Amino acid sequence: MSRSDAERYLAIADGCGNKPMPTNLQGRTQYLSLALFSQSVVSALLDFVDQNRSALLESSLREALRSLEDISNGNLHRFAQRRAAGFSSYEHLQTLDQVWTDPEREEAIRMISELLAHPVDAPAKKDDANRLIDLFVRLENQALWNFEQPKTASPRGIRELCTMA
Amino acid sequence: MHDGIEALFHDAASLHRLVDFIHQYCNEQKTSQTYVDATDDFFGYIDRLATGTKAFLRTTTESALPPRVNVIRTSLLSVKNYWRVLHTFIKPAADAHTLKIPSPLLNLAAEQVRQVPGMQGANVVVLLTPELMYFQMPHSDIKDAAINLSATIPEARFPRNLGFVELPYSQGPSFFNNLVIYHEIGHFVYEELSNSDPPVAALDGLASEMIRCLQKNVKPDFKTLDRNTQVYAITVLQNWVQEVFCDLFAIRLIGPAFTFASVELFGLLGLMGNTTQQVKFSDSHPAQACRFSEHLRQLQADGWWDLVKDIQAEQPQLVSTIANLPSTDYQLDLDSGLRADCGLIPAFLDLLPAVRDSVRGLTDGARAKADDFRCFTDHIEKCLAHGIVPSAPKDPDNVTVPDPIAVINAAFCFYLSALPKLMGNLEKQDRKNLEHRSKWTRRLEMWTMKAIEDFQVWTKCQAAANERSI
Repeated sequence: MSRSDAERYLAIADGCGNKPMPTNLQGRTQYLSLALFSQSVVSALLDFVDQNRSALLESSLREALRSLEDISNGNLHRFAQRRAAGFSSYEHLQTLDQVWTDPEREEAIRMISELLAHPVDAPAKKDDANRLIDLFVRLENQALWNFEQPKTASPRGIRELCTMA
Repeated sequence: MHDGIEALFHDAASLHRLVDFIHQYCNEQKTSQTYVDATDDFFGYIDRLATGTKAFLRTTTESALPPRVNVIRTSLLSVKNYWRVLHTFIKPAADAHTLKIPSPLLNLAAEQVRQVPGMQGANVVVLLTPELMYFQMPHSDIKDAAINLSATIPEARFPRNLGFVELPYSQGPSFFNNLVIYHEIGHFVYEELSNSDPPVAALDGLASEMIRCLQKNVKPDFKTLDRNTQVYAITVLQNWVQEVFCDLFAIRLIGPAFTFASVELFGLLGLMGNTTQQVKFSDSHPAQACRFSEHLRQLQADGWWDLVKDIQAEQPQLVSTIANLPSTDYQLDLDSGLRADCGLIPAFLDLLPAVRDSVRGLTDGARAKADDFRCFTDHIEKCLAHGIVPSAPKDPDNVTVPDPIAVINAAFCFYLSALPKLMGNLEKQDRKNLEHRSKWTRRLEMWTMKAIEDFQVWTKCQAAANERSI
């Protein structure tokens, strides 16, 4: 069993519908992975805005875009594979929900798409990039917070479903 | 006035100091202890990453613009947390030098794993944990984190095919309980192959099948559920699949000794429970009854069960009883409360044939052979009953050393059923004396381990002789 699984397996739940979370760091690394993913996007955007370098911009943004699009309309197969880059787990989706509203997610998709289509050194593009930096730094901070203070529950949907059945 | 840049330098220096300490610690350990190759590789990674992190800290602080200080401080915090996670691996890895771990068993396991398609070059770092539990460090998560970090620190990318398995420090020198590491190694294989590029067909097919089974069994229509609920259901199913995959993987590689070792471990931890507990599926694990049912099915399919089911011990009967609990009794225990099953368990049961197929496909070249056991078991038992290391050839004219998997299984059966026989062959040894019993268990484990080591040396000699003759 993996360490986090084993801890859940052995632990006693807190009685409030929250799963007991692993107390060790390794069991929470999914959140850290999301923080570092956000950091890689921020780093590429900072290079673009502050240093006029766009070498890493395309690969970084393309991954972020694909990942965001997959959440709303992508193939479920991606989530059934054990790992993938970007937003690939329930914990990732939950963190994203905590920090971005639906309109912000759509706005992020729009801004990334436009930056990818024309990554030119124009003030409007840099405004978009700065806005994306804000969004991804918020996501990074939330992921770091969840890494520190994890608390996940099964989604309401599954609880309702299992009660109904 | 608060100076943001000064605060940034403070944070960076603090991280630099932590990295420097860990870097030096690893270098000291490497020079004062002997480690298996995998641990040396891991320390090599720490060495490169420490150098890369220090360079990153220098360039980041030198080029920092005052309006970006908070953004950069957040990124330093992310890097620091990556080091925090690594920090928890390093001391247990440093403690697991070759005198503290069952090296012959680990070498055997690593060699078998390397025969799994896609796992060539795989190696396992052993960590000694203070907990009385076996774990596989979820290295996929840390490898994902490492890939993301490598965008800013290129040296962060993990060495390929390196897995981590934790052993309780008290069990380091023992043997029989340590056989459960095969399950943990199964996690390593599953995670590694799930991430492989291009995808491994056996596991890629499993992912598609998982979606199909959910769509078929979850009521109401799985497709209409919101994305978070769908992903959660997939995650639960993945957890169950992985546990059964790992059990079957272990059985394919070492046969019934794994099942018996699991019974021993679960018993030690008080996890065998009663019938009510044995049928419960949690979000992370399938029910014990379901797992043992899969054990039994695999052991029967591989021709093992008939060879061990009648040994004079409690274990085979226990396995059979739990395994035969009807699947209609299985229950879903979600968020620590029993739930009406919305179709997750039926989806999982529907998926099991695909899990079995994927394990079979991956382990064909590495599997344990019941025929070897059948051929050598009497000889091995005779050796052990007389205190002889069972690598002694069966026939002096035909020097063939018993296969290690046959040795492991025969020795485990001997341990469960015939230890008193060995003690009866010795003077002043009382089978009801706990110290005596534990002493001869230890000896039995040492002979078994020695036999495996002998086989490994013998195989190398054979290979060298063959090479010379060519």
